[in-house]
Amino acid sequence: MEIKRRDFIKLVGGTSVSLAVGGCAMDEVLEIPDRLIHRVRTGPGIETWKNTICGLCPGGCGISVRMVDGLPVSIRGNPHYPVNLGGMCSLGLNALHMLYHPDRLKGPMKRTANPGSGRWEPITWDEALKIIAERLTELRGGQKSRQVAVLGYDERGLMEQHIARFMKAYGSPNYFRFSPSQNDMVPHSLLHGHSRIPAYDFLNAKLIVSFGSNFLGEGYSPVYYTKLYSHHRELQTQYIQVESRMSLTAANADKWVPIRPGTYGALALGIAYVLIREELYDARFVGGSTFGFEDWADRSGSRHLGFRSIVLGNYYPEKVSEITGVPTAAILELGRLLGNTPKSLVLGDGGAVDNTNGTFAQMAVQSLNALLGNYEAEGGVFFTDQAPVRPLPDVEVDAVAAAGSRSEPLTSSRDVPFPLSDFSIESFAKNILADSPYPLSVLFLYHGNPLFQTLNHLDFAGALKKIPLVVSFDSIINETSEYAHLILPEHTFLESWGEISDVPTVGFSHFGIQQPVVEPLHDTRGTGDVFTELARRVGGTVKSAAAFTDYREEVRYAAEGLFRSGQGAVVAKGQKQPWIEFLQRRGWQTGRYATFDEFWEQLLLNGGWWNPARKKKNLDELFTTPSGKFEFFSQRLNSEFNRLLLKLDETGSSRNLESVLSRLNISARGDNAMMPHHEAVPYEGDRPMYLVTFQVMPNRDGAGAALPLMQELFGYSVHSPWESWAEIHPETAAAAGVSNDDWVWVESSIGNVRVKAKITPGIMPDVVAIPFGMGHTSYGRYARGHGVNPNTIMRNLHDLVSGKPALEATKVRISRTS
Amino acid sequence: MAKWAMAIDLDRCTGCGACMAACKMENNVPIVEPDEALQGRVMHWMDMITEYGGDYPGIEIKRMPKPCFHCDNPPCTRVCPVGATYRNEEGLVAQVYHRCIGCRYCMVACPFTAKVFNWKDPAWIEGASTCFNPDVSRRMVGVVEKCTFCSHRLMKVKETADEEDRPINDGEYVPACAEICPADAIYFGDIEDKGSSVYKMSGDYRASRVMEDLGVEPKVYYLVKRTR
Repeated sequence: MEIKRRDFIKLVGGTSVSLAVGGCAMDEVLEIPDRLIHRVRTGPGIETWKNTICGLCPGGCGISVRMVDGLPVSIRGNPHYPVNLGGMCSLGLNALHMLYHPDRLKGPMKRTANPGSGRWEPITWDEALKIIAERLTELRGGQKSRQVAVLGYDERGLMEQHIARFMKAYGSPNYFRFSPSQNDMVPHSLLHGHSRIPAYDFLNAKLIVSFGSNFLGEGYSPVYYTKLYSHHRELQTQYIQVESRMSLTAANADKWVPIRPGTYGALALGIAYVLIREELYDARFVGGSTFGFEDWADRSGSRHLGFRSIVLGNYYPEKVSEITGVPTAAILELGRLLGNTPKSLVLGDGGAVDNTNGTFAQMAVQSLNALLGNYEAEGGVFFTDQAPVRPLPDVEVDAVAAAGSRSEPLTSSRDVPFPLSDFSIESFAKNILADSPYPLSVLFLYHGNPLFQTLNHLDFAGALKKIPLVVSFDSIINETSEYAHLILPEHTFLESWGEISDVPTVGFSHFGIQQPVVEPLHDTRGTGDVFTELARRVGGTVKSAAAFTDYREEVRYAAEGLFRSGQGAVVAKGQKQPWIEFLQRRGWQTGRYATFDEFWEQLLLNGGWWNPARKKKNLDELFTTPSGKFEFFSQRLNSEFNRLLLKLDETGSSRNLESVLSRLNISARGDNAMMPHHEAVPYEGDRPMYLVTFQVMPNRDGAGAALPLMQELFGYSVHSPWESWAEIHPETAAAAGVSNDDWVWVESSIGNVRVKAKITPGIMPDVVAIPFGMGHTSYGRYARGHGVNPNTIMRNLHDLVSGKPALEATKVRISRTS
Repeated sequence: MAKWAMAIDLDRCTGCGACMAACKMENNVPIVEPDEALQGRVMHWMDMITEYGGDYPGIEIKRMPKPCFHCDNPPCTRVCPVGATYRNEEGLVAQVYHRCIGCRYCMVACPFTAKVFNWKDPAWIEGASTCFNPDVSRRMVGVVEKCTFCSHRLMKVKETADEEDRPINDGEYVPACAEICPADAIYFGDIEDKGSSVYKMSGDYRASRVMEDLGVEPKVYYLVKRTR
């Protein structure tokens, strides 16, 4: 009795304190509209929870938002959502600060002075939309619909289709996305034929060798991989990390293999040498399901060298050791370990692909999976099915739209860099500046921050100044939207409808539903609805892109496909492994929802749908290359080079393959250029250190910098709150006379940055690492003026084939600031 | 009487720092101004220790999340001149903010530097502070604070359990860090309950406590990394 009474008093005491404090603090906090504050102050304090999907990174974690009287107060992971199973990262936990951010735009804005002046005036939605719609109508009337472009970021699925439908009905080929992972699929498409990012069977693998892929801290879905990693420590799965700097993943791996930047492909081929020489490869898979392994003859009878000959001739361990800095013994050991461990798996990302030779390096890494026969094997590589969403209805295309969409997109360029890239901001900016092949009149900027994130931001800034109408949807003005003429601020993900489905590399098809947990705090709108409204205002056949009353209806329409497919299930409690296996054996069916309305209700309640059951594919239906096999010799790349050859021929400038390759700055010649090979990165010789960058969990792609808590946690691993730093090896630091926390200059041929030195043994002696994400000159009061942006001192180099930014292609010198 | 304890499996923990953010959000822990933060006045109830070992290239980076250890024989409570900190019957080392006079003796006494001091009222940069969780009171300038094992959650759980006239189930009361840990590395529960996961983990061959020789009897157990 006594205990209970004491607890009772404690409880009452606790509650009264919390009420008083809750009341006093809320209005001082970030920025919460008065009406909501009032509700919390006078409300009964009722707690509710709502499930949605986190929108701060592409990872697609299911979250549960806790609300008191309808005001979101905290976020937890949704314990039943299969991607994260209740886990969260620091960034997602802090999403409410984004909702309540004091620098969020309260409504549409119009710039009244020069870009960067920060002088904006409010404008009504109606006025803003009127300006845009009139311009769009006028352009269309003059058969100039192609002069409108949308530059998106990492949107996928429905939102991507939504914008694409608008552009198709309107009549422009210029919808691009520039996210860092945008061209990730290029090497995969060369080897596999289709543009899908493979998933890896971590669950069953026994050995995982990662080439630069910091899957625990960067990549598509760190929380998903953290779950996998931690649950397999007991299974004795061995992790080996090949990387220049000890990233979060390397720190957690069983072994770290330091490697010189830009040489990951060479190491992979050195390992291939060991596998081939010691006959440790899967002869059955290689013999039956690959093309170009042995020497071969084409239809005209000319002989070509196979992968085997090229690897055995060029990538013997001593030579690879010289290129990569990895000792010969370590190369042999890695090769033997991979070859002799059943269910060993290889993946590549990060530093391995973020370089001028990234495509070839990724091809080399994936070739190891082919040698090991990992495709569709247990503990290997597979391609997930797509969630069976209902395809949106076709849009109507009139003559104007048809002509517009047929025009050459503004990204393609006469001097042909990056033959296979979907989009390169480099050629986009150049084309805009040169009005070639036609001028750009209207640009919509949807998400991302190219002026902060890309390497060649100066060109792009020039391009932005030139475009007569730039429209942004950002809710906090950032470096790029400073250049916009109009900003139509979007809801945060906590206020809007959406879906995040089939996150790349996550091992099952899934569909997460994003729903508003709170009514919009400010006068903002969902961008899906804005495009719909614009389609309505432009009218005519463009109106067919506005087939749904609002974006919520569109999400609901797409979700109906899940219900109709009869596959998978709404995520729910208790969907654990034995249950899944049981269902897998007996055929996986929902069967619990009589109608779609019921299904939809469950979907909103639980946060998503998934289908862990996947039918194993036959090897012959896996690849869609010309040969129908895994191609060591990429016929697609070959025909791409031939296409360029014809293109160059027209201009009379050249005649043979060699000239195409030299125009692309590819140093390999002959068949080598179509195959995985080591392409030397054109480093400058006069600076001793390689510069590499990395993302940290609290910041990711630079977006976390708006959040004060994430700024404080930015350098949590090295005690560097609110500040950038440079990681330097102790030997290097000693030689340069630098001690921990000294300020140093890191200087490249492009420029220099001043950062604090953090001396750490977890980096190669000739490498210096600076985290990406700080150094904002805009983007709200908490981001501006802290730390440095390492991209500003990087050379403007890109992957020779895919156009991905080469983030590890710059050399620098460090010196103490005096 | 329950005795609340924690076990952190460093084999599972990746050092991602999510626990740090979860703690700050849950407990309305102030974010201090950047220049103060750089002077070492950052307030983390859940901190992260980084330690390097081994010879290049066999470097080992150890990361260790560090909450208050809620010692059974806590040195911080003895030095407090005003009785603002005490160990309660359930083993939680509690703070009474209104009694604290800010002498910071307890901060010095704590061998694990688990306590942090409010150098300012928790309003910062242009009037913003971080009071989100209405269940947790804000602390004022001049008082010491630290991890409470999210004891406000315990109050709620007790209420429900009392209403239903049953004991608290294992896993029903967990602090925010344990709840959201993406690696499921943090176990929490009643160490007196032989069926609880924390009881099992604390008896594991890999389990130990930090600076056990001090005799302060911490109630946070660490399980070392498995070696391959």
